[in-house]
Amino acid sequence: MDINSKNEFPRYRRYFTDLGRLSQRLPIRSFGWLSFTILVITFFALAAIKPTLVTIAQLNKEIEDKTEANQKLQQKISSIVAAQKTYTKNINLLPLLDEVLPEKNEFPQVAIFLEELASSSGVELRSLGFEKVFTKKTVSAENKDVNLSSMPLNISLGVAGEYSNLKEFLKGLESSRRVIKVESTSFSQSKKAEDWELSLQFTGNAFFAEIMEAK
Amino acid sequence: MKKNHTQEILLIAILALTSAFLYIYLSIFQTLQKTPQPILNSQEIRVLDPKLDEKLLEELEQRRM
Repeated sequence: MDINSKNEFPRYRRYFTDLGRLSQRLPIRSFGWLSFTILVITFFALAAIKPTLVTIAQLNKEIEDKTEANQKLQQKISSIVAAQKTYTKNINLLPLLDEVLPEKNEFPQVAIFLEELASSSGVELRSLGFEKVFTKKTVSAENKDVNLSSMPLNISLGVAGEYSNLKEFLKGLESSRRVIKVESTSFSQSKKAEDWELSLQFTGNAFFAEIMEAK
Repeated sequence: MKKNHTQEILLIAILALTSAFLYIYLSIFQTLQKTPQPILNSQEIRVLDPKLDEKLLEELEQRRM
C-alpha cells in the first residue's frame, strides 16, 4: 500500500491529522513545548544533577568526618604533650612506682627493710620467712592494652619487744613503700627469766606484678 | 472525535519529573545515611589522661623502704 502516493492520498486522508495546522493552535503548541521542556529537565536531572548532588553529599559527609577525626587527633596530641610535660617533671619519681610493685619478688629488699625497721623500732627480730605463692590475680586495665598480674609473696615474722615498740614496728610496716598487706597479727606474752616478754607474730603478703601486653 | 494527547503527555512529563526528583532525594538521603569505614581505629580515638597524682608520688617518696 503506497500511502505516499498523491493518487491514494484522498482515499486515506481521513486517517491523517494535519500536524501543521494542529501545531498552529496555541494551546497545543504551548503544551507540547512545556512537555518537551519538562522531559528535558527530567533527563538532565537524572543524567547530570543527580550524580553531582550525590557527590556533593558524599564530599560534605567526608569533610564532616575528617573534621571530627582531626579534632579528636588534636585533642589527643594536646593530651600527649601534657603527658610528656608531666612525665618530664616527674621522671625522677617514677622509679618509686617500681619499688611499690616490683616486677620480681625482690624479697632481699623486703628482708633488709624488715630488719632495719625492727632495729629502728627497738624490737628484736626473732624469725622471718618468705614463701612464694603461685597464684595470679589478673587486673585488666581500663584501656585494655595491658593486663596486670599481681602475685603475693607470703611473709611471716616474729618480733619481740615492748608494746609501744611493737606498735611502732607495725605502723612502719603498714606505711612501707612496698605494698604489704597485713593478713594477721597476734600478740603473745611469755615469761623469760624473771621478766615478761611480749612478742608479735605477723603474717602478710608483699606483692609483685607482671605487666603483660593484652592481645 | 479527535483525541488531544498533549495533556496526557504533559501529565506523564510532570510525573516523570516528580519521580526523578524523588529518586534524586532518596539517593542523596541514602548517601548521607551510609556509614563509611571509620577513619580512626579505636586505639587512635582513645583519649589519654595526662593527669598524674603527684601528691601520691610525693607521699611515696616520704615512705621508707
